[in-house]
Amino acid sequence: MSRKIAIVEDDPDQRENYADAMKMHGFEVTTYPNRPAALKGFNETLPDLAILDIMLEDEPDGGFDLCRELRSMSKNLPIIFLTARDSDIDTVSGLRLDAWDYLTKPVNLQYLAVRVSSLFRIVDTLSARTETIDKIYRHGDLMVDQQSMSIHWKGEPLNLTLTEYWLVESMSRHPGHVRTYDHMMQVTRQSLVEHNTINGYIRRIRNKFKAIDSSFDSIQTVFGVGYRWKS
Amino acid sequence: MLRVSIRYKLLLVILTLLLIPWMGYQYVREMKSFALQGQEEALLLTAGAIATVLHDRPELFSAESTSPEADSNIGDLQVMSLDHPLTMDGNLDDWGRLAENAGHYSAPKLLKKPNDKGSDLSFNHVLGSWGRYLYALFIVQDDKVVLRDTSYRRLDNSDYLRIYLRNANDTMTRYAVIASKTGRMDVYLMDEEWRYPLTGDPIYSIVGYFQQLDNGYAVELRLPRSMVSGDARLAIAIGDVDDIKERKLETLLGISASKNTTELGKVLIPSPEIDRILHGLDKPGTRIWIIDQNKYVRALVGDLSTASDSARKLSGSNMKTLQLWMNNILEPVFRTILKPPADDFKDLPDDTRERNEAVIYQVLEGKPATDRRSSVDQKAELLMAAHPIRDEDKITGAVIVERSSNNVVALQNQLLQNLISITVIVFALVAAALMTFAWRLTRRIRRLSMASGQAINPEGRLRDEHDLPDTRAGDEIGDLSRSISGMLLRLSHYTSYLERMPDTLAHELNNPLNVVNSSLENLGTHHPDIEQSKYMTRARNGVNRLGSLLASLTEAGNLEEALETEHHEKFNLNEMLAMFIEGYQESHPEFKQGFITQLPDHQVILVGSPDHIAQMMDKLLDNAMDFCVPGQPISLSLSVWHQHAIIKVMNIGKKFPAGMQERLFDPMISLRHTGDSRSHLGMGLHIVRLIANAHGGTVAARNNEAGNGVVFEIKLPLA
Repeated sequence: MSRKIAIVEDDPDQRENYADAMKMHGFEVTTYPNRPAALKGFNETLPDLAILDIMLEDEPDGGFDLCRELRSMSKNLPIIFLTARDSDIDTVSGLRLDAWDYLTKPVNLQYLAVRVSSLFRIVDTLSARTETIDKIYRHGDLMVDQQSMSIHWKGEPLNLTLTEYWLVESMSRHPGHVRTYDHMMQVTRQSLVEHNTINGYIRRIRNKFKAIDSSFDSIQTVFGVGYRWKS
Repeated sequence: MLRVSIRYKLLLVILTLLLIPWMGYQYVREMKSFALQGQEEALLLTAGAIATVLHDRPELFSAESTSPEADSNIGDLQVMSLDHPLTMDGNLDDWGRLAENAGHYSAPKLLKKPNDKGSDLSFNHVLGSWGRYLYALFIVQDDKVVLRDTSYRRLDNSDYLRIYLRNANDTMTRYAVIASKTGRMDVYLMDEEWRYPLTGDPIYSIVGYFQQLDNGYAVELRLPRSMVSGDARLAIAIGDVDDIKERKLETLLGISASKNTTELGKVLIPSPEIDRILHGLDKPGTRIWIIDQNKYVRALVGDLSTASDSARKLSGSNMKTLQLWMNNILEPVFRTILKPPADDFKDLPDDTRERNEAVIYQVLEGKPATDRRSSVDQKAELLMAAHPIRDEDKITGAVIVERSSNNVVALQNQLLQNLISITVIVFALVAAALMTFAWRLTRRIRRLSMASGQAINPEGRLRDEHDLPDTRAGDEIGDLSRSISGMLLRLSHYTSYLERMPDTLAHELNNPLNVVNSSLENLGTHHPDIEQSKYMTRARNGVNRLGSLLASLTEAGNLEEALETEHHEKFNLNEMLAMFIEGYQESHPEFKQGFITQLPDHQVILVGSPDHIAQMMDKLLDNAMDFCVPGQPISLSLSVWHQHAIIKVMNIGKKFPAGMQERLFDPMISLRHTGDSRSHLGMGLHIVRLIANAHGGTVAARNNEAGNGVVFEIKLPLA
């Protein structure tokens, strides 16, 4: 049984391109041009994953509202936001919308497919509840579960988005080594990433660690170059 | 350019108010001459009126009808007018003040010289008239009074009085008045030799009274006026005998110059008629002369110097308090610039005849005349008017009326004082009002100009809120303020529209770009043969370049939002820069000449976002590398100056074109050649400024001292 993906995007060309690409990867795709239509569809059948554009026709924050409504229907439904700017990511964080990932436009369809697959894998892992020890590695207080793509710090789980997980995983795999911006850009699996976007991710990641441990300082800035995980 | 503030300009305008006193002065001068002319006319009228009264009355000019003060020939006897009859009783009290002043009238002339011993004789005398009588008083100083011895028939052998009288028919009559004791004296008609009486009968029409005094004697004498009427001439002499044995006449003292009867003096008795007429016309400050055809003064009344005070009081009475107060304050000024009328000028009648000559000459020709002249002592100006007196066709005399112009001068001075006071008050009020107005106006204008100047911050950016003063005022400054305010508002809208434009543009372009991008991807997936095509690759490249252009367009906007929400932390700028340069060098291995860094050996603590500072440095170094002459290093220095961290980035290369330094930091301003292969939108330095400003700092660019490169200087406040 193929996975059902809902795509909510008001631009028909983009919507159809996303849909075509997803279908190519074997997903079942339903598309909606706006929030009311999407909401109506969700009420009939809940998708397995939703890709939401934030600006929907005449609603600038339509995607956010839709996200909230989806979250009320299903706690574990993966949601990917398509955003046009970094600040939207902050907004999503600030709204505690529990989105699973963000993707900034222009969207690389290849990456989108990767993301969707990764998210489905996480969902599968979570539902299976199987401990796959060999996929787990630790470094100090950090524990990375590559199977469920989840991170624990001092035994407590962090609620990271997929991109954030990839970044932490990338840095912590080679502690003491500088991860350059260029490298990290690739890690985020997005088509175009600025230094500031990376800085923003790191800032949000640090904040999530600090929410658990206020003395967290394992991510070090190497100004002008990138970041590294303290060895 | 000479800068004169509105305040001073208005002050200059106020100075034109000083023309008011000048105008007033001209006006007062006009008025003075007008007033003088009016007074002259009034005087002429008065003179005419008096003359009219005196017309056709030749008897007024008869010999005896003259004034006592009238000029006299030698020997003329001046007679005082008495207001009561006198009694011949030895009591001198009824002579009153006349007796005391008797000396004034003494002009004794020696008729007969004393022999070798010298004379001990002198006397005072006074003449008066009342009704039908003529009175005379003689107070004689004589050490030896020799009374008449009635046993002698000769009458010249004791102290006695001689009366010479020549009537109109040229007949000489001689009377001796002689006393044998205190009391009534004897009067006899005498022979030519003054030895014996013509008849033994005493004359009773002449009454004399003798009384002895301590050092002489006094004689009261009464004559009927009829004796000296007409053209009669009179002389009186005192004969003195000292040796009672010898009884020889030693000295003869006369009140007339000579015993020659032809030179006997006229008796000048005041004319009650003319006096009555003139006294009725007597006014203070006015002097009236009556002269006869021979230019002899026949009457004179009045005094010139009494009028000015009353005139001044009059004009001062209805003055306002403020003005009076101002007058008092300005008193010293007035004293120096205004010549007060002289109240004490002297213009005695004796000295004036010559001065009036012209007028007198003219008037005796029959023409009324007026004239002005100075008083004798030059202290006052006198006005005079003369009118002829006619008797039928003949001119018998003239009336001259004189008056000082003091009251006119006083009036003029008073007017000038009032005018000056009022002008000073008005000037002060107007000046104060105008100065207040100017002060307010300039203050408002200055406030407005300051506020509008501050609407743009030192970086040349429009401030978000500008609070202009006077936007509610209803006048032109209010209009100006409103229009500036409106202009600034529109400008700020426009500026924010311009600043938002890249962001808006990027968003609008993003969606079609995304369509192209995703379509290309799908195309490649569906047709793997196309995926390998070089055109596909070029299309992808183009999409990527478009994407990075859009990204850099949105970068500034995103940054601004990020900076607002950014958490600021304390960090050591020194350490951060060292790390940054190291990393930068590593990530740019192609830049072999490297960087010359000059960092202090102490901590430079800043509060801010190190990520953004790094981003700022990244942009600065990118910029420096792009403009650096190949092979030349880039120098970077950090120093601390006045609680500020100064970061300088220098590169050798092209200088800034004139006037570009300010605009360099504006968005979408680039000095790069358009042929540059990399995509540049000129946002880099704009981001540098955004970050510096977000940290409370400033950024400046200039050509270096050597003139072979440029310096960027960032100034950030220390923690």
